[in-house]
Amino acid sequence: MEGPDIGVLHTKKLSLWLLIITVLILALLVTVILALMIGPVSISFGEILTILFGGDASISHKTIILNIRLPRILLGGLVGASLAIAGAAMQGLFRNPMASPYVLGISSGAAFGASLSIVLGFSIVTGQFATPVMAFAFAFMTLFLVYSIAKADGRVPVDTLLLAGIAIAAFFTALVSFTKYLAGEKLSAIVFWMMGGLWDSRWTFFAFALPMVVAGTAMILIFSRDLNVMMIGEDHAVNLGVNVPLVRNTILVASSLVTAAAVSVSGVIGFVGLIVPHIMRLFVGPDNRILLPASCLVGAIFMIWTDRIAGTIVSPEELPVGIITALLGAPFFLYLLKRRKGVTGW
Amino acid sequence: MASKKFVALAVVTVVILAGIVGAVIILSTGNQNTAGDLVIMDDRGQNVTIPKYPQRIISLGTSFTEILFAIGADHQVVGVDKTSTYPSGALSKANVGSFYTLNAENVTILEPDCVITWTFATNTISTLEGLGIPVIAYNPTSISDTMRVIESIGNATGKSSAAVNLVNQMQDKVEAVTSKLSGINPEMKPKAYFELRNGKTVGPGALADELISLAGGINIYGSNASKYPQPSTEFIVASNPDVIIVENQSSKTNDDFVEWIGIGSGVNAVDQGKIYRINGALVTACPRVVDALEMFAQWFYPELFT
Repeated sequence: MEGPDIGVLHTKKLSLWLLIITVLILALLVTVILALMIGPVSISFGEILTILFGGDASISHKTIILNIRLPRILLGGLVGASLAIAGAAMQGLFRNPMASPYVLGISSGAAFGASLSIVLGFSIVTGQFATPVMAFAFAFMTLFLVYSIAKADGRVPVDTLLLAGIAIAAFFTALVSFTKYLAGEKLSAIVFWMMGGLWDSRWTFFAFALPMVVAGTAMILIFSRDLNVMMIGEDHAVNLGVNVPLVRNTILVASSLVTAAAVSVSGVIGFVGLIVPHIMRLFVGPDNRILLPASCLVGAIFMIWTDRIAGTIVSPEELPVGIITALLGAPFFLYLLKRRKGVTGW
Repeated sequence: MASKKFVALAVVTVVILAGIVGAVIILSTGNQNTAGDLVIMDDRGQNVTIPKYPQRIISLGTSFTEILFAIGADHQVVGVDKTSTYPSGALSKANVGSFYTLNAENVTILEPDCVITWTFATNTISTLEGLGIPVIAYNPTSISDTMRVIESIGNATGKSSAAVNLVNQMQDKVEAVTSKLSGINPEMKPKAYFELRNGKTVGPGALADELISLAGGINIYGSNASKYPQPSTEFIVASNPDVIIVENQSSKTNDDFVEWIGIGSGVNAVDQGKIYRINGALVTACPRVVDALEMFAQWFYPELFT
């Protein structure tokens, strides 16, 4: 009896994946359009379309749609996409379901850089990029620190990376606490920065983050198949022809790049990078070739919706978006887990 | 396969470099300013151009809201932040939320021609300036700073004479207190401990510290301390303050203080029951700060001030 033709199976799988990606891209576009309609100030859909196509409208409405809502939605999508794909990549690289984009202590390093800028006014550049550049620079510095500590005999075992990350994170967190102590009336500013939020989204920040997120995402996606192979163990992967050091270093740098870009413009938004990959794994399975791009797209959609909720639910106040992501994400994930008891995702 | 990946990596590196170049270009472009008729120098040292005179002001900070109302410029104010609750007229102005996590939509829809806020709200300031709204940022940390800011706001709103009158009244009240205190023996000055609602105390550079000194007292944390030090019980007991003043908004009751420091610890303020509460809104850079000064003086020298 003939078994199923592996070529046919392969094609079917690829077509299914293509369908999923296409649907998700369409969903993202629809999300962006719908999200433009939500905000503390009500503007009709017709007027939104007029403004988007360069028509006439009041200056305040034009400013709100084009200079406040649109950059915020796009930046939110970028941040959500970054955190989700970095989380999925970290979970794959460390073969650990608890891994998140912040597992190497990048967020603590970024927070310290931000606190230096916000509290002490110390930064490499002046003007609006003072804090984002400091956060970004320290995030990367943290990666190099953790990597150098974990490297031994030319090898970089992932367990050591994790431990070094925890230690460095604790170190920077302590330093941030110290700057908070010195902060005086600037304390609220650093606390809000660390809680994470998109209330300060601007086109300039979007331009700053976009190339890095695109580059980092591309770097991760290129190695999605190698990541699959590495999940059975690094030694096995070497035997199967995977250039383990190259893949590992590229994924580390790329994940840190997108995470640092996200954190530098929106603070430390938790939960998205941890939970979105798990949710997607329940829907599309653990193959990184579909999991990584799907997590990326769903992360963007998720972030845009939660940010709209955070910005309107207690208007004129703003709720830190991390609260919404946790309140929505955790119960939904638990529900999925209960429903799919028999499915191995991990 | 490997060479394909290297090509991909190379392409990606080019994209990163292009991004960095783009970011540098954007970093070097400045913000735009709207045209207007009046130039005000704010506490950042910047010359801010506003219309003469702004009619759609948004005030972010209760101190500035109070000042605007006190000089009669309230009709020129269209929006305030959530902490602006005094005077009661402020509550009828549009509320734009917290000035740390400001949703710029709420400000934009009011079509402001000027925003007044604190210098340390740097993110909010650059967001608003990026949207073309002129921002005047002040940082008053003393009574004389407060008076200077009142006069500056008076100039910015076309209420200079009212502002000068207000400052003169404040000056009179200050002198009424300080004149009675000239000639007090420094050894006889009461020691004071002041606590904010967040549990911290005040050191050199803080407004309450200045009030204590002007009212003829000695702040036990008045030297060799940071601006908002975390108090130490041992130090308080060792310093033996004669008067304890706490922000009324603090969750600690006077009995909490007695318990915390301990009866019989020999601290004068506790033994003599001299623990006083003051509305925190008076201990800020606003016109009523001179009322706070009077209250401090009464508590320090009850026999001199009735």
